Amino acid sequence: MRLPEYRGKQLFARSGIPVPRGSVAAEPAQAEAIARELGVPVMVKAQVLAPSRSARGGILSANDPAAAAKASAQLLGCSFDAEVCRAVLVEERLEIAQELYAAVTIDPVRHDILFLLSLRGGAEIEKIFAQHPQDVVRHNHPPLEPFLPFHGRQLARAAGLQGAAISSVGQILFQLYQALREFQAKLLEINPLVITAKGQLVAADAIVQLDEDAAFRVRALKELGIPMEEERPRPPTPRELEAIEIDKKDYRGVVHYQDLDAAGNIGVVSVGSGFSLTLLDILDRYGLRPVNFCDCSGSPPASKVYQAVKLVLSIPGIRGFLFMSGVVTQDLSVTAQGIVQAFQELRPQIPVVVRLAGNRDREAYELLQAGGIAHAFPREALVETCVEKLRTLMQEQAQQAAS
Amino acid sequence: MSILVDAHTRAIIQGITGESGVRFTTRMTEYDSPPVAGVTPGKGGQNVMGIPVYDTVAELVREHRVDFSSINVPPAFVKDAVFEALAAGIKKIFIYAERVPIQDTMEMLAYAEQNDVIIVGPNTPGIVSPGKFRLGGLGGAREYVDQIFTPGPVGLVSRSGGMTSTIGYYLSQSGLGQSTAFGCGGDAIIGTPFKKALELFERDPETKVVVMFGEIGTHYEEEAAEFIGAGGCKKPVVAFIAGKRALPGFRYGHAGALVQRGFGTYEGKVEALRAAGVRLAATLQEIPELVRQALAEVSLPAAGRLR
Repeated sequence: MRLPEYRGKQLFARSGIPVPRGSVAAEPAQAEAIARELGVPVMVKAQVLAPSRSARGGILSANDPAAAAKASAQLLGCSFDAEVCRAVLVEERLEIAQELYAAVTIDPVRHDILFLLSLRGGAEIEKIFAQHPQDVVRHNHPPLEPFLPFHGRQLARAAGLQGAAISSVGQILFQLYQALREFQAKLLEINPLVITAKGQLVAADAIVQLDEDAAFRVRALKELGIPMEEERPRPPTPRELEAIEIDKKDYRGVVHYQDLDAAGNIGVVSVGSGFSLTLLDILDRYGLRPVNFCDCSGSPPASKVYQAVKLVLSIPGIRGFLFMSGVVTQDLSVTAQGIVQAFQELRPQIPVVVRLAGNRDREAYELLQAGGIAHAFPREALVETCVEKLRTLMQEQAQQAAS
Repeated sequence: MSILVDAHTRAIIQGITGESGVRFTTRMTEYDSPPVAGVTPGKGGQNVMGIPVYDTVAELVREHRVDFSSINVPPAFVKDAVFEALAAGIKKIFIYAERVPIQDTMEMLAYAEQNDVIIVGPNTPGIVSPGKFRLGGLGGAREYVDQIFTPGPVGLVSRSGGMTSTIGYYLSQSGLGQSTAFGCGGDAIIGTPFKKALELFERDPETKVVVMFGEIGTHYEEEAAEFIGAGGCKKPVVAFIAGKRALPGFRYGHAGALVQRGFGTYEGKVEALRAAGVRLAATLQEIPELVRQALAEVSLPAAGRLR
């Protein structure tokens, strides 16, 4: 889970990593008050996760409190991709002598801890990574060995730092390592890590990605009131919110719903995450465009299946509906009950194809047939056969409608 | 032969009295490959379906020879249980739980690498060497598992537990049995990714062809392609990669199935595998067809293969 900058800086501060003085504001008046209290020229920064925030005008400079209010009024409510700016960070403007880049992350390829340090920090870092990789010093650290300040100093030297900066940057890397461990982070990135005109190091930005699966043991999150939310590249849609509610109401099984393609032509519910992904690709192969993704698995009760099916069947404009499982171990007779209940309540006029395979699929098949689902398939039917059947039924219905 | 488990495997279950521990015991027993013992702290002296329960792994290994430990505890306690097994000298570990804290997994894998330990998972339902041994509940109740997994020459490894069974069923219905089929795990980092699975299948004389099910996210498919390209696995490999239509940045159930910053894309994986000579299936139906072709080629006499 990515944290907004001001949250990341709160965590940095707890680890002793210096951050600019400042505070977060949701209203221009608040921003003005913060700037007045700071008593120096400030930066007003949109608290959004979108990339290239600075290049897109998400960071403004203000010389006095009135200008800070104006800058925040300009940013609040602004959209960055699908993300709306709801808060700004108002903090002291730094006198920058040099900009470095420092990061520590769990290396998913080598399964260890990767440190990155470069003297060419700032807005161009992606370009530096791509075009001048030799300007980024890397160190893969074995997870079972301690990382100490001397490791940091060695990295600082390898990056080409001299004098007092060797120890101070070494110390920052050590603190980053401790923060990575304490907060169970997947990534901590400081870009830029500023050396001020007075020679002090300050983390001018904070990219913090936490491990949702370890959040339960990170005390700081509770103390700072940082909620753990699923990471999404855009805010949830109304149907996604509804699915989250359905999922929350009963802890048994999961309903994982996502809106994919508003111009799609079919609604889909499937069982199992790997299978659900696979099914999307097979549908694509057969020219069917799912409006949504909906994984309904992990042995949900019939009531949960019913709600998921109802949610998808109610999507306006779909011209077909598919419920399908791979070979699964959840009790499919329970799954079938949920499907039938939704089917009988909504009586869809569009073609419906259901295929269930695995545990108690014979009982499930009988329930589906008795429930009036004309195109139910047993485990022997290939996934591809069922998808083709749906396509044919949809074509037939379209022809009937035309004639 | 087979990989990871065979008729002689002696497995235990840590967390045997919990919900998944009891289910594993049931499924393994009905497959005639029951665990030899189990562990639940505080329940030593009890039994699960006649299988003895110990308080600690240390006590258990004084009474039983153990090859494999299945870890059936909640994700927060996995690291503790794994290191308990390792401290008792167990060399093969299976982790059922999903969404284990990534730093815990990282530490377990680092230890495993240094100490010649195999870790399968986290986030996998099981390993089946058909007709010989089943670790976990992969394939479900006995009446189903025998239709899904049948003995034969195909090595099957999958990031997804459900797809292990789904592809096993496609293969078995086409008369193509398996040497070993297993879920390597859906978490973001895992102990026996494709490259390691391919190393094991390459050394197994019973395996003639390998089928892998991969998905978007992680580096494991690319790593496998590199390994195959470098000659690490000379047996033919058939792959299905899922997630062509998935949107980047979203998590699709498995913690690992997440495309970020252009890392782990569908196109990247497919191109790397194709360049390494892997046969890519575009539908599930194509998997048995491609396996059959590959088998026909490897069974040709050497002269025939040279043309």
